[in-house]
This record gives sequence, structure tokens and C-alpha cells, in this order.
Amino acid sequence: MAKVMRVIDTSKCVGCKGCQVACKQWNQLPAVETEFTGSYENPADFTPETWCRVKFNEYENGDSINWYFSFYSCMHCTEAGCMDICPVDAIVRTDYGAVRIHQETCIACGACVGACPFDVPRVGEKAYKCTFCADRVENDHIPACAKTCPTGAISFGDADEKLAEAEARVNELQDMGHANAQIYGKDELGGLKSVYVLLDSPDMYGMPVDPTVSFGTYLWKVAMGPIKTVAAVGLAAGALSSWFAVRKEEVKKEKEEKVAAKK
Amino acid sequence: MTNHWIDYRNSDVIMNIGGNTSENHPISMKWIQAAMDNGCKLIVVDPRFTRTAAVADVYAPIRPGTNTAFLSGLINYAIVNNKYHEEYVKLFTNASSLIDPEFGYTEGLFTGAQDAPDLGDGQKSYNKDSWAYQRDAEGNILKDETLEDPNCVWQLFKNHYSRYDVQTVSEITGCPVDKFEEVAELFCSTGEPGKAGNISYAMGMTQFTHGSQNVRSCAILQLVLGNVGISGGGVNAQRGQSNVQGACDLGQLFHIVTGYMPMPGDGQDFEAYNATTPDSGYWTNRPKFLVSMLKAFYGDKATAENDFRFDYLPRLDKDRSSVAYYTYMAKGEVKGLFCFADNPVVGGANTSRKRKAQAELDWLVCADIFENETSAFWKAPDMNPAEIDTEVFLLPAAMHFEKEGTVTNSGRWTQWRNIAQAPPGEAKPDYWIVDKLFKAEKKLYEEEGGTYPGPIVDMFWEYGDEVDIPTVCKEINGYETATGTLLDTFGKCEDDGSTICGSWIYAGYYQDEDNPNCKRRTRETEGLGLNPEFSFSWPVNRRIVYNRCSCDAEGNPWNPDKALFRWDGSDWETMDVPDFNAGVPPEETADKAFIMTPELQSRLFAPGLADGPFPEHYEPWESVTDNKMSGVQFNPCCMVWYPEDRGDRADYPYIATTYRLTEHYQTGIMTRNMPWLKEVMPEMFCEISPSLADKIGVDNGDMVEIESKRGAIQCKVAVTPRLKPLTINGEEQEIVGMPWHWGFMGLSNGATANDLTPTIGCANTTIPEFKAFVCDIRRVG
Repeated sequence: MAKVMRVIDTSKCVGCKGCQVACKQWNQLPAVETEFTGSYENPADFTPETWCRVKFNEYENGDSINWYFSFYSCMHCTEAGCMDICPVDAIVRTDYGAVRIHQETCIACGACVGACPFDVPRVGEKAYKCTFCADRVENDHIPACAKTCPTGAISFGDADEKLAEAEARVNELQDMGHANAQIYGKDELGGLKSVYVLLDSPDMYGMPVDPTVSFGTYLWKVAMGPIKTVAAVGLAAGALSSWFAVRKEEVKKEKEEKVAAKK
Repeated sequence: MTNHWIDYRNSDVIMNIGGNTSENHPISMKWIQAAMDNGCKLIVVDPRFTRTAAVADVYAPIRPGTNTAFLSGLINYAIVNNKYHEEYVKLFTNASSLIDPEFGYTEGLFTGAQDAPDLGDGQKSYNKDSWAYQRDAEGNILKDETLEDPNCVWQLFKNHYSRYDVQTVSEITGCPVDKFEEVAELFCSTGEPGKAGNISYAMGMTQFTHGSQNVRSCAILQLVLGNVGISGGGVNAQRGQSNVQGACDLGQLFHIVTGYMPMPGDGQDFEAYNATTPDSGYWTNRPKFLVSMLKAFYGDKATAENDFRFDYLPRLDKDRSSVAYYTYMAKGEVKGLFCFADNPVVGGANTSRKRKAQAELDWLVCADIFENETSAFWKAPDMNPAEIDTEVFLLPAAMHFEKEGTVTNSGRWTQWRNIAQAPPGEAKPDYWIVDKLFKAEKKLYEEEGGTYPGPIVDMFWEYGDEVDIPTVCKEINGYETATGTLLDTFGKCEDDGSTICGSWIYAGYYQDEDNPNCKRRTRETEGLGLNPEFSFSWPVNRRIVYNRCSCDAEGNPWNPDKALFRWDGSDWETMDVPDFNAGVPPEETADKAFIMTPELQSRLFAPGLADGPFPEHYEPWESVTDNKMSGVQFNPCCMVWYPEDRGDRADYPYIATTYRLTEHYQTGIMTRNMPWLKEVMPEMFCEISPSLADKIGVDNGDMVEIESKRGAIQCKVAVTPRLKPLTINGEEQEIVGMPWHWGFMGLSNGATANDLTPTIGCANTTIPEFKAFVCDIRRVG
């Protein structure tokens, strides 16, 4: 199967959250309890039952306002930190390029959460995140989020074709006067399989400007690679869990510092 | 809509005013964005920076309740800056017609105003004798083609609109002058021949005491700019519910029967009704449509001898709108109420009064998919069940996917839907419930007699033991009485009883039992998106109405790239179904482009409305400011039921408005009970500006109490720069925005915004003024 890609054209997104609901419906994920906290954005975070969500980014810009909506979910990175760090190799790449967690192998250690530069996976009984609707894609259907999107902001298809479309769209938007229009995900982490057409810089959409897999994750891959299974046993016994907890905090802090530096 | 959803992609400029198309009609954005990809500009005019504004090229704020002023400003801008489509105006409107010299306007009132104490203290109704054309001895309208006669419509029109200069409009609407001019320049650019401007709107245009005049203003602006009857143009009402168009087409409105024929007046017999048939234009055929409808209602019992049982039709003896009904109910004058798929205790205005009114009923029958606030009104926090004797029946209903039939969308496309799955448990389609109810009632009348049994026992009701939907469709479509041959056009309707037709405009949608047009699904492969072989668009599969206006007098399309018709010297080349006689050369139809008006032209001056032949700005019933245009504060012709309910700005200093959200639907019955939708928008809230938040001392997410003269509600507050104070007549005014989806029942429950809205409605339609009233807001705790 050829490589696939999801393109999110934020210039067409109207923040309807149809993608969120379609994701829950197709994947039969239960609703989570939410509350209104002053923003249209809900749920406020990923959960084991919430695999995609739309971020509402509101900026006052002199007399005018920018209200940017951005679909946010697993980016299916080429350099996938979650895959690198998973001690039991439960996270794999499919032949069409999706990053998947095999729940039967997953030990719910949470390492992937800390290793993800986008803070996407969440751990319940197992670790969970967007599967690219594997059961749909492997049967020649596009993912539920793309299928339901009323405006075509989320589209899905052959990776080369979608990337070319995204690049053409950025050019088109620039020609239409959107000087900051840019592509996101083409080169980041070896190329994401969720590529964005943005009207403004990534941080304005709540995304890391320069996502990286942390050095710690790299070290883990190189140093512990041969003995991952042993480590996993250790983990299961709780010996290494504190290390992951600390590591997760470190990664979070690094990311926050990076965003702050960009601003 | 004059046009249709897909046609949005052909627009050069789209102005979404009084609507919020991203949030309430998300699919429309597919076509709007297709247009924008081709260079179309999107203008959003709204009190709030909405999810539509987020993707617009130009956002202009407006104070709720000032659409007429805003649109009048645009009309005046087009006139004084010579942006209007002069040739179009001369050809297709009544600009050149001469009006009675007695007609005039002074200080907020047109000529003929007389006191109407029945409507309320100080209210007026009009003697419209002077709102009339000058005619010659044969009855022909006198015209001045130079448009210079001081009594011609164009001069009166220009004079009327000259008062709406940019500065005045800015002070009334709160839209800054530079922003208004930006909108005006951009939208009026479509006055250039060949350009297409689209006005799309929804309930933010209609739900005012002057709602009809707001819509008139849209139509007038579009006529002046030459945007009616062309691809990419139009006056496009985006219906708030998927089949509300179909409901209106089939007679669900209180003042019309099917196919937009008027409801008979009090004491009006068949002869008197037919005497009101217009003497020119297509409505001259009205008796044929009426008789065919009566044949559909009463079958063999309707004969020429008994005037086809016209006497069986209900009479519009007084205001029979739903707003009026609840006022009668409150007085104990209504014994029972059927409420199907309706939830007036959340969706109606002034809902606390509605709950109390329902307590005066002997019985209430609700059919819905969940127990809603209307059927559970006696459980409301402000009601005491011990004091309520109303017997309530709740019938479980099928959802729209659980029954077959047609749905007619905003673009008039009548589309068949198959049943997707059987309804759960004992839930039944509305038509099943009505059928059983009718048959039981008929049996009772037959066995026991009663008052006036005729309309029931003589009703033609042959749909089988279980309602057969195709049989119903055939009756609506129409057929020859003797042979049963289905009609393919309303042109075959007769006034002698030889045809049966439930709603004349639907003739042709079910013209062939095996291959009805409403089931067609052939997509257009090239063209303007008219998709003539996809479903059926009433009337006669016409996709864009008034389409003669797409060409000049000689039959040349204004825009050759988006032509609907083209005269090649001997014949019309047709892309759409002509709304004119295509059998004659173009010059013969050039001044007959509006076949549904007796004068065959569109009306810049329209004497049919209750409150004026030209739209005039009046403040909402409740307002924070004085009417800048005249001493008449609010619409002088609307009915004031409860004068004591009117809030004063001294007590209620803020403007309040209501709206919907993408995540919920109408009164929330389908969505507030759906866990996934509760998750994405869990609670009732209101929205205010940071400056108002500072003033009342609240932060984002705090609880507030909002109070109007009708009551108070509590909810969380969103503090956002998407709402900004507006400068109105020199004073800064704040706006409180509220979604109206919530009620006290269901999985996601919360305060009902309509507890705050007033019982007052449009002078022409009685649609309540949900969108503009006054309130106070304070911190809770």
C-alpha cells in the first residue's frame, strides 16, 4: 500500500468539531465529562477516549481578531519518538506510514506520552491515540475525520499527491494575500503524515514551532535498544517507572521553554 | 432562496448578514470557500465575531436590531456613488411607475396612518389608499421611463433612502464609518453588470418587530445592484431546519394554505376569495391551484356545486400565529395543544409565560424523540405540579432517518430520502400518529356526530391501513381526477375539479411513480452547478428564480461566463428552466421578468406590507437608544400583547441577543441528549466583552445572572474580544450574547435564554423579536 497523508488546510476550517464527533463515533469512544471554561474548545485535552480535537486560538490584533481553528491529533511522524522509546515495541509503523499502538503488546508504561513532541498519546488501561482509522484506511476508506469534514479542511490520500496539493495551496493563499501562509509538517521530524496548511506561524495554532525528539529518547533508543525487553520487565516491576515520570516532566518543560523562546 | 446552495460558488461577493453560516449551515461553507478560491470575497456583518467572521475577508460589527438601517445605508451608498445597475433597475423594477401624489412620509410614518388601539397604545395601522400606482382609464400603470417625475418610484425611493447617509447609519448601527464604507464599496462593486453579489441570511434578519422589512431591504439592495435572477446572486434565506422550506410549501404557516395561497379571511366565501385573484401575472391561475388543492383535501365531496368545499377551510378570523395562540392559551381560551417535534418552552419567546400558559390547557399531546421541556413544563423549576391540571400525553416519535419521504432544502430542492433504520421501540413517524388520530376522530364524528363534522368526515384520506408515502406524494404532486395520470407541471391544473393537486408548486416532483423526479441523483459534470437532473427544484425544476433578469433586454447575458440563457437571434439557448415566456423574442419579456407580480416587475415600492411600502428603521421594541430616524421609537404596526413586559434601559442597560452554536441544534432535543455533542459543548453560557467583564467584575468562566423584564437566568460567562462595545448615537453600548439551545431537561441541561425574550413579533409575520432586547447582567457569588 502506498504511503498516505492527512492534510489539514486551516484556511478552510470553521471549527465545527465534526471531526471530533466522527472520530468518537467511528472508533466507538465514550464521551468524556467536560465543562465550559470560557472557550469553545472542548474537550480541553486528549484522553484515552479522545484522539483528536480542534484547538480554538483567539488573538486580538489591534481592532481585528484572529480566531484560528486547528485540528490536532497524532502527526504520524517519520521520526516517531513514541516508537523509539516504547520499551516493548508496541508502537509500529504500518506499510502506509501510520504510527500505530498495538494495545495487546502495550504495557501502559506511558513512555510514549513523554516522548511525543506533540503531547498526543494518553494512557488508560493501555496507551491510545489516533490510528488513522486503520480499519477504514485498510479497506479503502478515508479516516472518519476527513470523511465528515464539511468544508474539505481535512483531506486524506496518497502522500505525494497530498503534499503537492498542500504546497500548491500555500502558494495560492500567498497569492491571495496571506503573506504568512506556510506549510507545516513537510520536513518536521523527517516529515509528518499530518501536514498542515497554516495561515500563520505554528505557535499561533498551538503547535510546536520546531518539534524534536528529545536527546533522552535518542539515548534510550541507542543505549537500551538491545535490552529493551529486560527494561520492560524492570518497568513492569516498577523499577523504571519513576525514571519515565521524571523524563515526562523534563520533556514537558523543554517544550514549554522552546515555545516561550519563540514568542 | 432565489438561488441554491451550490450556486454560492458562482458569487463574486457574498455578504452573510443576519446569519452565521459557518456555525449554523456548515455545509454551505464548502460552496462559499469554493467561491473564495475563485476570488470571491466574503463579508460578515454580525454583532459578534463568529466562526463565519473567522474565515471572512471583511468583518463588520452591527448592533442587533439595525439591519434595515445598515442595508438602507448600502442602498443609499449604491445610489449616491452611482454603483447601481441602472439598466437592470429600469427594466426589471417598478422604478418608473408613478405613485399617487398623495403618498408621502413624515416623521416615521407613511401616509394613511391611523390609530390602532387593538394593536396597543399608540400603535398604528395604515389606510393604504395612497400607496397605489397612478393608472390610466384602462387600468394601466402610468410610468415615466426617464425616472424624473417626482412621483415616480425611483424619485420617491431615492428621496427616502437619502436620509441613510454613512454617518447616520454608523451612529445607528455602531458599525464604524470606515468599516461600513469598506463593506459598501466591496458589496456595491457587484452593481457592475456581469458581477454577482449574494446576500445570505437567516434568523438574524427575520426575528425582529421589523423582520419582514429587513428581508425587503435585502431584496431591494439586490435589485438595485442587479443581483436577482443571476447565477451567484440572490436573496438567500438559509433555513434553520432541514425541511422548514417543505413545511412552508405545504401550508404549515398560519396565514397561507399550500403553495403560498392566502388563508381565507373571516367570512370570505369562494367567490369573494377568487375575486381577490390578481388580474395579471401568473397568479391569475390561482383558482386552478385552489380548486385542485380542495380536490386533494375533499375528493369526490368537493364539487363545483358546493364550491369544492371551500367552506370547510379554516378562516383567518384573528391572529392565529403561535405567539398569539399562547396569549389566548394564557387566558384559558385554548383547551388542548398538539405539539409535534416542537419545543416552544425552549424555542419560543418569553418561555416563562409559555409554561404558565400551558398550565391553562386541559390536555397537551407532545410527539418527540425525547421528553422535552414542553411536555415536561410542569416539572420546570418555576412550576408547581400540584397546581397544574393539564393532562400530558407524550408520544414517542421516529427521527427523520427512521422514516421515508422528501425533505425540501433552502434552495427548494425536494429530495427523497429512504428509511435508514426502523424507529426504536414504540416510536412512530408523525404521519403514523396523525393517521391513527384522524381515523379515530373520523369514526367518532361518524358514530356520534358533533359540531361541524363535515371537514373531518368528508376529508379525502385514502392512504391505506398504514400510510403509504408514495400515495401521499402522488396527491401532493397532483393527478387527473378521472384517470389518475400524474401531472408533470402545474400548467395542467384546472379549476373545474378535473385535477387534484395538494400543493401546486410541487407538481412535477413525483410525476412518474417509477422514476419520480425527487429521486433523481444524476450529478452535473460541467456547468454552473445547477444540477438539473438531481432531485427536483420547485417550481418546475427551476434552479434560479426570476432568471429572465440574467440577460439584458436583447437577451445577452450580463455575464457570458455564467449565462443561464442566451438569445441567438432566433432562439433562446437555455441552461435553466425559463421563468419567462421563452417562446417569444427577448424584447417582449424584458419588462415582464417577475411573473408572480401583477405588474410583472419587481417592487422597490411594495404596498403589500403592513408597515410601509419602503423599509424604515425603527428601534427594537426594547432598545438602549432613541430612534435617530424619527420620533416613532419602534415598529408602529406590531401587536403589543404585554406592554407591562417592556424593559426600560435605565433598569436594563445592555443589549441582549440570542443565537445558535454548531454543536447543538435548535432546542437541543436531538443534541443535548447525545453524549458526544454534550462533550463538545457541555453547558449554557453567555458572551460579553472584556470591558463589560471589567465593569461587572467577572472573569472568564465565572457565573453570572442575566435579567430582563421577563425574568432572570444564570450561566457561565465567556469573556472575549469577539464581542466589542459599539458606539451608538455617541454612547458606548455593550452586548450580551446568549445561545438559546438549553432547557431544564435532558443530559445537558441549563438555563433557557428565551426566559428573557419578549412576547412581541414582526408586524407582518409575528415572528418574535428574539434577537434584540435589553438586559442587565451581574456577577453571581
